Amino acid sequence: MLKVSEELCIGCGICADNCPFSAISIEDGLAVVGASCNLCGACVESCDVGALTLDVRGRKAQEDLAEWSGVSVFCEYRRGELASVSLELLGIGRKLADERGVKLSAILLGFETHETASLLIGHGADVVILVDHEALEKFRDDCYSAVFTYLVQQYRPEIVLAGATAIGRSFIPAVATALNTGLTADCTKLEIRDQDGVLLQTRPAFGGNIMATIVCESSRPQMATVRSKVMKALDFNAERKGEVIAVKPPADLLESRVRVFDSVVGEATKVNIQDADILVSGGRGLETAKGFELIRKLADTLGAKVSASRAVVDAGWIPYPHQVGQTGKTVAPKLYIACGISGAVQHVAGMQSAETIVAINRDEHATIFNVADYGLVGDLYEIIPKLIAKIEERRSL
Amino acid sequence: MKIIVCIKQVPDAKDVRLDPITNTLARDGVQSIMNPYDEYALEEAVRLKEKFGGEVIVISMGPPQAEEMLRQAISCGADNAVLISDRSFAGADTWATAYTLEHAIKKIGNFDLILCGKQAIDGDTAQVGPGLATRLGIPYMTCVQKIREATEKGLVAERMMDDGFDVVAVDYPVLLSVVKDINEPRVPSIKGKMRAKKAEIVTFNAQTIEADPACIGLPGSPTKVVNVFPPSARGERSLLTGTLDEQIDQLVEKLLPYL
Amino acid sequence: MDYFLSEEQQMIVDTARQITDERIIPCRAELDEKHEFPRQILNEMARADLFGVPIPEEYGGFGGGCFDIVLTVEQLGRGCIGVGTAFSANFLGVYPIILAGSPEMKEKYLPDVATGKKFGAFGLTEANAGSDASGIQTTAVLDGDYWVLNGTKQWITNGGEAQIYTVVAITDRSRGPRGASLFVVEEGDPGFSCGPKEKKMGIRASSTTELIFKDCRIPKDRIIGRPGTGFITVMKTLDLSRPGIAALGVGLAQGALDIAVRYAKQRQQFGKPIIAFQAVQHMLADMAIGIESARSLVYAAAKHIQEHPKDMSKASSICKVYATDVAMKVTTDAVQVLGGYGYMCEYPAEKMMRDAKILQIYEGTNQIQRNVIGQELNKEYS
Repeated sequence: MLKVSEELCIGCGICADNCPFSAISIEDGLAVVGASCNLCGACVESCDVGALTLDVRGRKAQEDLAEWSGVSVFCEYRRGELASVSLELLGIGRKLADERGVKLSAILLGFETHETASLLIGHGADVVILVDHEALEKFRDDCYSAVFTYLVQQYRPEIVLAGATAIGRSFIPAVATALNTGLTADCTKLEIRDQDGVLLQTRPAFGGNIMATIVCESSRPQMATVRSKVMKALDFNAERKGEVIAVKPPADLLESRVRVFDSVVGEATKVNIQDADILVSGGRGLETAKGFELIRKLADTLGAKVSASRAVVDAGWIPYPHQVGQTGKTVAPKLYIACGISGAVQHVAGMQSAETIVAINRDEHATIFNVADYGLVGDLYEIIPKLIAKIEERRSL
Repeated sequence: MKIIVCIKQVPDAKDVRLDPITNTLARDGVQSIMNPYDEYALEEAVRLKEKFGGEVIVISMGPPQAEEMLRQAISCGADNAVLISDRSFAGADTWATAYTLEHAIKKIGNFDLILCGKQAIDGDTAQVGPGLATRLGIPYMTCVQKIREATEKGLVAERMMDDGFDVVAVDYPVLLSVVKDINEPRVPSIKGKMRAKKAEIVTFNAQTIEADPACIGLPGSPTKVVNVFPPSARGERSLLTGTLDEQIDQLVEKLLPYL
Repeated sequence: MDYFLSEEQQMIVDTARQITDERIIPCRAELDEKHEFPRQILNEMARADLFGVPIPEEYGGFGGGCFDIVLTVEQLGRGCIGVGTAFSANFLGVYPIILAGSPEMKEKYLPDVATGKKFGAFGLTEANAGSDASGIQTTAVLDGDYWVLNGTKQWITNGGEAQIYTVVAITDRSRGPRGASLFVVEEGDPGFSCGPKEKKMGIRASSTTELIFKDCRIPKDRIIGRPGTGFITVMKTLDLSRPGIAALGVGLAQGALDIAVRYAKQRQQFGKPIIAFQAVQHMLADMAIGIESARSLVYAAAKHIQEHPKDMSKASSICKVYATDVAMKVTTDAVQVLGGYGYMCEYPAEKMMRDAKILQIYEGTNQIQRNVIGQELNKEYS
C-alpha cells in the first residue's frame, strides 16, 4: 500500500505530477491515492517532505538463491544461421560475468549447428551448452521452452539473457513462468548492483515515456531480454578457449503439441533498416501517408533508407518493418534524420546511439530536440524540399 | 466454441507526453483506452463466434474504471464480461498478472480458445500471454497474423517471425496472441451499444478466484521497480539559428561528411 | 452548441462519427480520384446498424424519424458527401415502400434494407423530366399478371449498385400527374439494365447511371400503393428526404471549417499564424455563423417534419435551400483560407467545394425549392 502521512504532506502536488498512472490527486490540501496506483514508487522519490511511503512486503525469497551462479545467454540458430543478437549478448554477458567473477555460458539450441559453438567461444563464452537435435530445427514454443527450462534447472545460472527476437520474445516468458522467476523485456541497459551483485535491468516503461530500473531480488535466475543492436559484440578471438557440453535432454521434452508445416521467408527481411548508414525517419508530423513521398525523396538524395515512428506505423502509413523504437527496430546508423517525430522515449530508445541525429519539427518544445545534434524548428514541407535542393546544389559544386 | 479474450485498459499513447520543462509526464487529458492490440483479439474472437456459434467472454484485470472498457467490448460483440479487480492486485508484474488471470479463467471454467493482443502498449512486454498459457498447461502461439483455417477441433494459423512467418497447426485448447494485421476491428454497432449499456459485468476479487495472497500484486511479483527516471538527454539542445535558409545552409555544412 | 440529444440519438451520432473518422475520411480522396463506389464502407455502416435507423422496428430497424436520419447523415457529410449521398439515396429509394407499400411488400424488402443486405435507389428523373416531373415518358402497362415498363431514367444515384429500385412510370397519361404510379424493380428483372457510370464534377464516390427499361416485366404486386398515387408518394418522399440533403450540407460545411481553422492556426506568414489576421478570422467566423444557423434550422425542420407529416413541404424546402447554400459558400471560403494549398488536389478543400455544388442541384434545385416556398406562402396568406 502507498501511504500518505497527513502530518507531513503539504499538498504541493509534485507527487501527482510525477505519477505515471495519474493515480494521485490533491484533495483538501492532501495527496489522495486512487485505484489506478500501481505501487511503482515514482511519487515516493519525488516527495521532498518524505510524506509518502510504500509499505510492501517483498516476495518471499527462494531458499536456494546462493546456489545459482554464472551468466547464461540463449543463442538462437535458425535456417543455418546464428542470430546476431546472440553475439551481442555474449558481449554484455562477458562483462556481467567478469564483474560477478563467474562463468559465461552460451546455451545453443538448434539442428546441424556445425562450428557455431566455437564461434560462441571466440566471442566470449567460457562454456557452450549445446542441444543439437532435429526436433529443434523448426521453432516450436513448447519444445524450446521445455528444453531451455531443463537446461537452466540443470546448470543453475544466476542470470539468463536472451535476444528479444520473435523467437526469444515468444518462448522466454514461458521459461520464466515455468521457473517461477521474473523476466524483464527489452532492456536497454544491464548492470550489476555493487552492494549485492543483483542485476539492474533498465528499460523504457509506462508507455515508453519514462525509464525504469527493475530488479529480481527474490528468485533466480534473473532473466532479461534485449533487442538486437542494443549491446555490442566482442571481436572474435580465435585464441579463446572454452568447453562445449553436448546435452541430450529427456525425449519427452522434445515432443510438441503444435505442427509447423511451412516456414515462409517474407517481405520483412527485404527491408533491413538496421543495416543502413543513413536513415530518414518520418513521424506523425507528416500528417498524411503521402508525406512519405517527401521522406523517400530526401532518402534517395542521401542514399538512405526510410524508417518511421510507431505512431505512423500504427496508422498504417508504412509497414511495420520500417518502425524504429522499443517496439520496432533498434538502429545505430551514422546519420539519423527525424522528420516530424516528437521523440517519445520509446522511439528515442531505438535510435539514440546514432552517430549524428538531425531533427526537424514544428514544435520547438518537442523532446526529439533533446537528443538531436542539430535541430530545425519549422514546417517540414518547407524545410525538406529546400534541404534536398541545397544538398544537390552542394554536390554539383 | 467458448472463447476468452484478455483485454487491458491502458493510457492512450497519443496523449502521453513529457513536459519539456519539468521532464515529467504531462498527464492532462490522457484518456484510458482498450489496449489497441486487444481490439484485434476481440474482433477475431467475435468473427469465430459468428462462424461457429458459442460464446465470447472478455476478461480484464484492472481498477473498477476498466468496467467501461468491458462494456465497450460487449458493444463490439462480446457476450459476457468479467472484471478482475482488487486493491491487492496492484503492482503486479507479468508473473503475478499471469497467475491472477489463470485463477480467474479456472473460475470461469472450460474454454476452447484464449485470445490476447500481442502486447499491451503501456508495458510492451508481451509476456502475459505465454505466461498464462504455460500456467494453464496449454499450447500457445504468439504474434498470429492470420487464422488460415479454423474447425471445431483446432486451427491452422500464420505466426509472424523475424524473417517471415510460420504456418502452424494446433488443437484446442490453445492461446493465441495476435498482431494488428489479423483483421480490421469493427465499429461497435448501435444495437451492441444498447446491449452494453444494460449488460451485467461480473466482478471477481482475490477471494473469488481463490488466489494465494503471496502470489498476487506487488508482493507476488518477482520483479520490482527500484528506480524511475526521465530519460537522459544526449547533450544540450542544439537548435540551429538564423533564418530558415541560413539554418539549412548550416545543416548541409554539418552533413558534408555523410554526402 | 448543445442540442440536448437523447441517449439513443447520441449513440447514433457517435456510431456515425466513428465510421466517418475511421473509415470514410482516410479513403475519401482515393474514392474521389477513382470514382469508386464505397461498397466496403457501406457494409461497415450496415454492420454498425446505421441502415436500420429509419426502418420501423417491426422490420428490424430502430423506427427513427427524420431527425435521427439527419443526425446520421450530418456526420457522414463531414467526411464525404459522395458516401453520404449513396447512403441517403438508398433511403430515397426505400421511403416510398415505408410510406405507401403494402404490409407484404414491407415484409419482403425492409428487413433486408435494415441489415444492409439490400440497397435502394430512386428512379424519378428523365432526360425531359427534371424539376418538372410531369414530363415523365416512362410507361407501365398492365399485361395479365405483369406490369410492362418501357423508358429510360437518367442520373439515378446508386444505379448499378442497388438491388431495389423504386421507379416512377406513367400508367394513365390522360390523367396528368394523377396518372403516375410507383413500382419496385429488382436487380435482375428481365428487360431492366443500368447504363455506364457517369463522370461527375463531384460526389464521385456515389454511382450515377441511367436505368433502362425495355419491355421490363415485373409481377403485378410490385406496384407501390394504388395506380395513380405515384406522384403524391414521390412528393412526400422528397419532402421527407430533403432535410437529409440539408444535413449533408451542414456536415460538409463543418468538415471544411475544421480544415480551414486547423490550417489557419498552423500556417505562418509574417511571423505569425494566419488566424491572427482579422481578415482570416472574420472569414472563419462567418463560416461558423452560417454552419450553426443552418444546423439549428435543419434540426428544427427535421423535428417539425417528424411531428407534422402532413405539413412538410415548406420546412423541408427552407432547410434544404439554406443549408446547401451555406455549404457552397463555406467550402468556397475554405479553399480561399487555404490559398494555393486549397486549390491543390492534395488537400481535401477543393474536393469539398466540387462536391458542394451538387447539393444546390439535386433533389430539387434551390430555385425550385424557392418556388415551393413561394407557393406555400401564397397559400398561407390566401
